[in-house]
Amino acid sequence: MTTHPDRPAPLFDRRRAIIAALTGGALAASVGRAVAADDTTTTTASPRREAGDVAVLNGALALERDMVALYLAVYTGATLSADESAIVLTVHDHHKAYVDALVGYMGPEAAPDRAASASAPAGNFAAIAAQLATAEQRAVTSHLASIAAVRGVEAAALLASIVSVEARHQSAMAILAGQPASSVTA
Amino acid sequence: MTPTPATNPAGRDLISRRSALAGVATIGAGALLAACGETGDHSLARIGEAPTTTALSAGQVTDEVLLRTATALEYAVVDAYERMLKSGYMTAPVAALAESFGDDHLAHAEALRGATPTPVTGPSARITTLYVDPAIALIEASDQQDVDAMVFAVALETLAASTYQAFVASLSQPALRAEAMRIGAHEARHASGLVVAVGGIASVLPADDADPLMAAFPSAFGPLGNIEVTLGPTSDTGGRESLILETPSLNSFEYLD
Repeated sequence: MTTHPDRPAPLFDRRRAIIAALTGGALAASVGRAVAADDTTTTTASPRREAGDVAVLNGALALERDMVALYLAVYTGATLSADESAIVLTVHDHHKAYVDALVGYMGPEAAPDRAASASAPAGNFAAIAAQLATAEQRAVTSHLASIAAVRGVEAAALLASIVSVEARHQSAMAILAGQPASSVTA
Repeated sequence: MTPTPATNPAGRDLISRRSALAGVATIGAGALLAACGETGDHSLARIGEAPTTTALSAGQVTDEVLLRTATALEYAVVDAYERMLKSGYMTAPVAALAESFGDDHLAHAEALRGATPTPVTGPSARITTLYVDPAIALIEASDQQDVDAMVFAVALETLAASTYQAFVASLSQPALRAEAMRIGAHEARHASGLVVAVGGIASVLPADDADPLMAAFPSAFGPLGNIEVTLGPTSDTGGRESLILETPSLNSFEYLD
């Protein structure tokens, strides 16, 4: 597979040194650590499912049940416009789908529902959205750690499909809370 | 009296025409069967000769190949933003976000490149040829360049996010999977952030009559399917051209030579 030869990119090249110093270095270090732990020149077949992943997945399941409870509390307890209510209900349904997917994946090994409950965040929708954005970011961070912890490919793929949308939840909620898009998407 | 072999008690010949023909047929069949078992060149005449072929070497998909592919994708996205910004297609607030996103993709590419034993050094030729070049051409011809540029930017971010999500199932090491998805989550934030920054609260959920690509939450789970993006001028029949973007796969990975 061929690539184009190095093509000058004056607009972004000017920022290369700054980027490498501020962000690329940290990102390169984290990727480098992951690569250093791996023989990237060969491929070892990964297990599709791994029995030892259950503990990690039950942690993810507990987190998602908490998110369901949080969004339900907001939907039923906060004063929302029609658009805001629709968004909250949709994201609640997303987290409910994550619970169902994790339970379905683990089957009888899924931890029983402990009937999590939550209080609706106080304030107007902007204040509520800010807290929801924080909760989504915590979920993303936790699930990324879970992906690093599970060995089974299927479990990792399921968590990745959840992370992808929860990252969207986080940035959208943060912008709706009034945060500038440039800082939210950085 | 012992009947002679050639006669029967009735006096008729046993070697009749029928028996003679049967004998010839038996001999002929035997000859045919013998011929089938023979070796040697008895091929039927034909026109032309099929050339010998050399089987392609099977590309081995390793973690390094996937990292190289992701690097090439990042450079292709940087290139796309570069071209759209320099051409003036993007207006505020999209232009400012595009510059920021370009910086992020460059950082991703540099990080991946620095961590890959045999890194790629430029954008993916396949992504550039199949997606970026046609899209830029359509945007150039469009009568709503700013809208189309924004739509293509969302499509690129969605493609990048989906690519990393897809790679999670192929990478061999959990730590590498997590780092790939960390980058993928960043791209996903780009996509939804751009949509909401421009469209506001009305763009968060998919609308019945709107393009799902332009919703912050197009689905409950991260999509891995084709990404259809409609760009360019409206034709005389009212239609517009669509590009289908797909995440890199076996025929577009950056294999090691």
